[in-house]
Amino acid sequence: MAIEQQDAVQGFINHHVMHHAGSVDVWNLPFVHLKALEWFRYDSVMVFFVVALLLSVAVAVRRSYAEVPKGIAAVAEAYVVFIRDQIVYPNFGATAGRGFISFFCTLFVFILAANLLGLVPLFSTATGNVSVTAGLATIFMFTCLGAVIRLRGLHGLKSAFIPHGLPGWLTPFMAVMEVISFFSRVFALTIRLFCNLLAGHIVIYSLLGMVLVFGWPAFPAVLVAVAMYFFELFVAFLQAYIFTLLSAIFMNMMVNPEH
Amino acid sequence: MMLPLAMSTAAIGAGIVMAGAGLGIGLLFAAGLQSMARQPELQAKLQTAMIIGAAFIEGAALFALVICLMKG
Repeated sequence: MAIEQQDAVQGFINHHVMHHAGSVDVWNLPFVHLKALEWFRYDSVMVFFVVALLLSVAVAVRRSYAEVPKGIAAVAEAYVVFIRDQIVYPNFGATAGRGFISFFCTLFVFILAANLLGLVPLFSTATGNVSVTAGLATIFMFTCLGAVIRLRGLHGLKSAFIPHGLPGWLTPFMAVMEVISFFSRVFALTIRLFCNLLAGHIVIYSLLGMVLVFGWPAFPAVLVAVAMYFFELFVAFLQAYIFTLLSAIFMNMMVNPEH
Repeated sequence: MMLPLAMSTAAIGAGIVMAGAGLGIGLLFAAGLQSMARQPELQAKLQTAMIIGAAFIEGAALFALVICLMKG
């Protein structure tokens, strides 16, 4: 392969990877050059777009809400029941879990909407940016600490980080270990979501990049890229579910340290 | 432009990481499917536990991959 071609492919892939990290290069559909579309290259714009979209959906749900919900309200109700029965109640129990439902519903729907909008052409993946996922994990971290203080008091915060029944000389060592493991969980949540989304996009762009190298013989790579796209749809749901489920599990470990 | 040696060591590291993660997820799902075949009534619980376990293995693999990406 000629050096120029190699550089072109490298540039193509770097360009699209960087595009997801917020580069300012122009990228548009062929024949369609709308200035407004270029705003959606930015992850920060996508975050606000997702928030605006979800807020308008929330208003629509509130408007059409009735005793027996129909249409979009019925979908929203089924979604909330799913989060409640699959994620919140199995972890927190039916009484303590009630207050957590809204938090986990928001977390799931925000991540899912950002993941799915990232698969739309021209739109950037907000959750493929490490700052966005770090922000989500930080929100989880403070909610977690707040929930422990709210439900168990400051003494509960102490018992969340210091397991009881330890010999006295081991206590400071274990406390340090628990604090480190708490932060590593938050970090793991950040990296898992970010890497899954970014890696999926890199795979798709690498496959499409083969077209630049080989031309028509690389047509099977396009089919594989389409297959990867459908796999990414699955990953979008799976990662939103995993982020929410792991947050619930970690929060429950903090709130009820005996279990 | 990065050095070719640094690039290839990062690629080798990513390969080793993938081997470990693949082995881990493979063992996890083999055991999960076996227990599901033995006790189909526990399928929902086992599936959740499997997905959580796979997420942990994947998280550890992604930690290493990030380091490979940073160094590559």
